[in-house]
Amino acid sequence: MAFQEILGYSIDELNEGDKATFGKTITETDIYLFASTTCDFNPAHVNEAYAKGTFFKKRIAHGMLTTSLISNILGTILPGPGTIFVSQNVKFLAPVYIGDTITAEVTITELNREKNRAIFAAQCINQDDVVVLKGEGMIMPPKKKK
Amino acid sequence: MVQSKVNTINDINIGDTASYTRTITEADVYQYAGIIGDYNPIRVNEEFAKNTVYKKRLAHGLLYASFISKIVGTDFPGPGTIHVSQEMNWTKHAYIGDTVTTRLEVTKIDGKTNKVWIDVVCKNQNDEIILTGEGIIMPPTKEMKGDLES
Amino acid sequence: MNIEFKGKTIDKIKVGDTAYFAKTISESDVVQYAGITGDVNPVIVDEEFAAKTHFKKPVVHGMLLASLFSNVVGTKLPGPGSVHVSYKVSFINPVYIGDTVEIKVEVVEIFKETNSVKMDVELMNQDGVQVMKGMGVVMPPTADMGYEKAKA
Repeated sequence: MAFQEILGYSIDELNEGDKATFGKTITETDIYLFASTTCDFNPAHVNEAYAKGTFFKKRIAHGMLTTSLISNILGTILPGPGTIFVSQNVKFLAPVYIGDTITAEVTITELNREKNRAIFAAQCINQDDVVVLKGEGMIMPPKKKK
Repeated sequence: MVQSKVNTINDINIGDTASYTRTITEADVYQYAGIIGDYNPIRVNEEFAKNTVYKKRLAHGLLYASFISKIVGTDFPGPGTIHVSQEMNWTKHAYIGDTVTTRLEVTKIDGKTNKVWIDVVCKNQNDEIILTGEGIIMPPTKEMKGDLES
Repeated sequence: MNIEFKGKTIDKIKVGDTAYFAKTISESDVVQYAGITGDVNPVIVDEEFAAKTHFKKPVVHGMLLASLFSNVVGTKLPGPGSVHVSYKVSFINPVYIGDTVEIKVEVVEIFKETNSVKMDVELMNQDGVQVMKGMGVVMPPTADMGYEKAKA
């Protein structure tokens, strides 16, 4: 059976300044499942007694978990399915705690239509408007069949 | 080795009831969202939920509707039962942390087609009805019972 | 364009609007779902038991498949902020672990006075066989609903 064609925006449909957001409350479950998936059981993420003695005072989310919200936008919203992730750099600016609501935002900043490459800027903001993560990266938007 | 009791249509009477109670945790809602891919912010974004009439994150309506299937397939009539159809009407919402009791009652039995009609009600911890609905199930046949218990 | 994770309000929905979601159902989906709902029906989690039924091997929970409606309603049509009013499903054919299913949801009636829409639901497997059908009524998000902090 032919499934519905699922493709996001091609480079011709994108413009510099295009933007998308996605928000989610980060739970203890998210952090524990992420720890088990990646085998990253850093006590800063899964040991409350240990975390008390750290600079952050409480268990914090994996930086890459927060980063993954950006991957969610790129792969499902903007440009969406078919997008190839080429590179990304991120700076972690503030901790994310269990129960924080994080909104990720992706903005297309530069388009190279000839090479089918797009540069994006990304940031994640918590419920108090604190920027917890900033970054930028390169993607290849999906190609539409002619 | 099958542990659960297998009930055929002959073991079922109009008025028979069965129930199941479960507290819906945040982990339940998040894992469920992951399985079906429903990240509706009304379920997973506390800040969004605050700005709605609901004020807090809601559990997926189909999550607790699934308790009907749980009762039918594991408790009563039990293993071998086929869920033919189910109707669900949500009268209220369940929040993360609510304890939901799902109860079903047999309302009609048709031996010819091996079909049993059930009335379903879900209530929260405050005894408020949050879901009602009618379902049709087919209990295992006598032949199946023999196979299943062998 | 500025894509906010927001659903369509009722005035943006038309009869005939359609949305899809497809997924290969994995063993982990079934096992996790059994854990969440408590539905450890042996025809689903017990291979030996399932082998004795006419299904021959473990099947996927019908209500898991029915739940895919919630995906479309909650993320696509009407999308974020929607809630369910009623839903009726009929299970027609079994789905096995590893099958790829696609749910199609189509708006068939709009009730402005109650802010609700009626939708036709159909689920097909990779062979084009209809495995489930249904009809649901949902309430789209209202205009005042939203993530007010959606950043500039």
